[in-house]
Amino acid sequence: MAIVSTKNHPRLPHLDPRALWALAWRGLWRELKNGALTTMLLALIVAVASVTAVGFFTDRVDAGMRAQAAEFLAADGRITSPDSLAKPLAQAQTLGLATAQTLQFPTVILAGDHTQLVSLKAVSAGYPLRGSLTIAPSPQALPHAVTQGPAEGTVWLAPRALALLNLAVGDAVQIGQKTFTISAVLLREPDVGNFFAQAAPRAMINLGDIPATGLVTPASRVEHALLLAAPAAERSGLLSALSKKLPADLSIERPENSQPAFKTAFDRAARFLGLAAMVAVLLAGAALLIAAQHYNRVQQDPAALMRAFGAQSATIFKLYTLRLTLLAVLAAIPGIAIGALTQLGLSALLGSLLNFQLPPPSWAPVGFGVGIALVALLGFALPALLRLKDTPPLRVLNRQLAAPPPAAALLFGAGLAAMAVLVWLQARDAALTGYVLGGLGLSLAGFIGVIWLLLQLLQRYPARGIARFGLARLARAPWASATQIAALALGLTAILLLGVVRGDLLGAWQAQIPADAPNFFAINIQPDEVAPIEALFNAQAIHSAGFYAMNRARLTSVNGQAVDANALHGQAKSLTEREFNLSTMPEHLKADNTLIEGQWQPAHTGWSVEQGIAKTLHWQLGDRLTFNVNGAALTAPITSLRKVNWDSMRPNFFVLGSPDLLASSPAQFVTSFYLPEPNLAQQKALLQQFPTLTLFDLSQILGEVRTLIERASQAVQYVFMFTLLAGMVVLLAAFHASEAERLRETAILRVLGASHRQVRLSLWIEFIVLGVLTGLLAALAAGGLGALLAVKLFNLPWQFDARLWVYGLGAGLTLALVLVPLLSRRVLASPPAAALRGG
Amino acid sequence: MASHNGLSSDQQANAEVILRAKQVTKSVAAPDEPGGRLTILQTASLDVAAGEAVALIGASGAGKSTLLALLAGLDVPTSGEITLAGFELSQLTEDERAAVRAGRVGFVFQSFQLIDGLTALENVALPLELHGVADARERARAALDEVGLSHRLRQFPKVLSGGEQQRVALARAFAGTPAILFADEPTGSLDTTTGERIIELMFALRDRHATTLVLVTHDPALAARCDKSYAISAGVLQPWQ
Repeated sequence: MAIVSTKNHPRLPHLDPRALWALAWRGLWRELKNGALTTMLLALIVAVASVTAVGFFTDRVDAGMRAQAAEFLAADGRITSPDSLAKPLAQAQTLGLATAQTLQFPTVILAGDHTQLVSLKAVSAGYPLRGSLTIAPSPQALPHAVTQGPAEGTVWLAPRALALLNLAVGDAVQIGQKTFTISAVLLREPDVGNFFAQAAPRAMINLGDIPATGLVTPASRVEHALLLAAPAAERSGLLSALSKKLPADLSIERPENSQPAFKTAFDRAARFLGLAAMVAVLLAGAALLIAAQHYNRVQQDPAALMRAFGAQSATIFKLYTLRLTLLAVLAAIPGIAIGALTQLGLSALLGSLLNFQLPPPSWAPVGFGVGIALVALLGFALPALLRLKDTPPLRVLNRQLAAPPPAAALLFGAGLAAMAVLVWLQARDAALTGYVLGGLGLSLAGFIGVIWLLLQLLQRYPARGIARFGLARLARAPWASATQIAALALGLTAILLLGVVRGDLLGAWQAQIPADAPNFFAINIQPDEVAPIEALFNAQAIHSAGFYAMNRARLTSVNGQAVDANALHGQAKSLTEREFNLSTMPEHLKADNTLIEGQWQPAHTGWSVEQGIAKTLHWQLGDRLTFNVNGAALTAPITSLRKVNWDSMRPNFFVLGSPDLLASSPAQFVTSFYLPEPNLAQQKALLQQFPTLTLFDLSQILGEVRTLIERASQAVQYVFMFTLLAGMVVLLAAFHASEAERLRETAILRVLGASHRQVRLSLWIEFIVLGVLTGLLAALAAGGLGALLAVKLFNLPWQFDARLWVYGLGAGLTLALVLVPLLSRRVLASPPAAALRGG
Repeated sequence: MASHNGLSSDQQANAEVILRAKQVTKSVAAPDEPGGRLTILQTASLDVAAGEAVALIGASGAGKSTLLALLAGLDVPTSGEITLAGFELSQLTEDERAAVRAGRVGFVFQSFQLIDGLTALENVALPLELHGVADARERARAALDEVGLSHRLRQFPKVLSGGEQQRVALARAFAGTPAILFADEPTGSLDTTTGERIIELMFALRDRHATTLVLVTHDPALAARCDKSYAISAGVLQPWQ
């Protein structure tokens, strides 16, 4: 016989993209119809739905909270200055920003023979630009909200001023050279501002009346404020444009940084919500990881067949990548729709609870939903399918042969990378991303390591009797089992994190401002008044935060260099211009202070400085600061840096001096205390007895912050609840992914003569072991992650919650309790032959 | 003697060799065996001329399917050479062997190997589509018509009988008009009557398309229908009858 000449190498064919597209689409469509991709699709839809629902809802809550935050400024932005702001006003109006002006200064009002120091605020038309004022016709009448300040010739007075002057609405008062009629009781104003400015009760008049009062001259010490607002879409751009035109000594204050206490609350709320969304992402990853492995097993036969028919490995790779991409897009559509619908229900449910109008959602979560689906599927599922291209074509003759398992590093590396992208996209917070990823990465590696070892032991020392069948299923493919249990444990970790740790974190947060947090500050207490005031507090059962000496001082030099405020800018300039309040180091550091650097040594001469101000003024440990206290220059090195919890509502100081430094300086004292409700009788008694004492009422600010925390907690609770629900569905979907294998293996047992009881028993043993393992690992990880989040991220105290063990084990066993009866019914209801045929 | 394909002995002698195995050995790692390896096939050699029908007969585990896999380029020999359609397979990468099979080789398997998720028509069209054939669907439809299943185009494999599934597999194998068809125990999963019908159909199609056939079977009667037969016993290949 003749033989054709031997050729070297054949030309590798490349499939036309259109043909590839058609193949991918048809395969996807068929697999969706026959259910091969249902689990993955469902997992993905649930994941996208939960993430987008969280996205839509947090988007709205976020926007709502920002609007709420804007109320703290009564505007989207504010410029304050001791000088006139006429020029910035004109610039803002040219840019198209809405504007309003306020003028604030302390003055005295006259009512007959009585005088009262008030904090006078004159407001222009348009004030407030954001939020509303709350007024009432009398202190006892029902309050109502208004969006305009008082008319010309009228004044609104705070209840405390009315009470102190024994006045009523309709009475006349004189402010400067003009007489005003009291037209309302001012109960609440959005921009309460710095509480020290409220040393005296508020009086509010129209800005147009200011010239007639004759109180403001070019030399007057007044605070001018220019309030700015713009529609959301243009806000950032317009405020930035104005900011660029402002002189260096002026800046625009934004709602986010208007109130330190509020900002802390706001940041925490944003982080909690970010965490909730991230957990949904995590659940999606866990489910997809399992579902993709199942899909990989199912697809080995078709892949081998296509290889036998001559398909190139690149063609197989492209085909599955394209199919997954199409699946992601396809899943994103219903996922986003369900997410949008769910958030509608969620918002309707929460509308009344949240007490603020939720703005409509933006389109951002839609794009995010598609992005989530794509990144999640390609990151979590594609690595499991990558090796399909390497399926040996010989598998068509020998089904024992399979594609090599995907490399662990690739599988989890890609998963973690995808998670990093998703978490970053969701949280936009490097610290949060780092902590969550680091924690989860370590947990996952730990899970797989522990499970792998246990399964290896199980292989070496197999169980006896029917237990062997149940456990052998786990031990036979230790890698797959370890991955599956690890993914389940990860899902359960998320649920425990939500179910238990979330409550603890929120509890710790709310405990930051307890119900009996001091709500009044008293300053200007003379040394000889401390003892009688303490006696008064004791007599009236008023709990105080203690009395602290306070010396007024000016910073004169740093390391021998005279301080020149004009050479500084911004906050550094204002800090050095104003007087410092120095106090004496107590023997032991207060509970709301934490030592960051240096030593706490009150016996050694030195200053202890709050870390924030040290950073702003570029002070370091060892720098020698000189303060002028009552004409005496006090020089000493910085011996320690402290972190101060300003939320504590207790007196705290930027700079503390060792007792020897300040002992000879005459000091006044300051304290804070809690009155169950603003009790005017007690205030009057205090004021009459100690005429020099000045009281600051923090109730309103405290109330605002507390309300924000409560609202944010509610929002977080609901978001977490939804994510918890999504997590349970995803876990069930993950279990469903291995159902076919279980059916087949159990069918073999039945063919070999296993009784129904034995089959059930083997399932119970397998799932109880799986549940216990999963539950314990999840409890451990949730505890660790909770501690990490609390301490590093939320700055909250943390204690391991022993209930985690109980809930972890309980949840693991519940999985067995729910799934075994379901699986038993399915396994025992269908004839073994059907399962063995793959039906 | 006239062969089944009607070629005379002389014609066969001059026919182009489409498949050649030369001293092919296949062994696998087996720690329990002497030397740590188990030899499945020993120095097997054969030539298959274009258009010829060759049977590989032997008992279960004799090495028939191993040889078929090697001849089709689904596996590589431990030593020896296999030349398929002019390409020396052991010199090629996995993808290059796939490129050799593409459009030249058809398969029929004992377990049909249809994809559950695809209809009969889609199963038949799949290899054509993988090779970028423009009118894949039309050709698949014609192939199914040829095997008498034009009324079952949109049925999924699960609702087809074993005989129908194997007819779909035959249609899939012949739709691409391959130069050579490898059939691994094509009647192994079928009852005798259905099996005979499938064999009749397979030979008819093979005649119609002038396809070379390499058939693995344990049935001597079936082997006798081929132009040439080889017996494999304990990994040793010898001409049969």
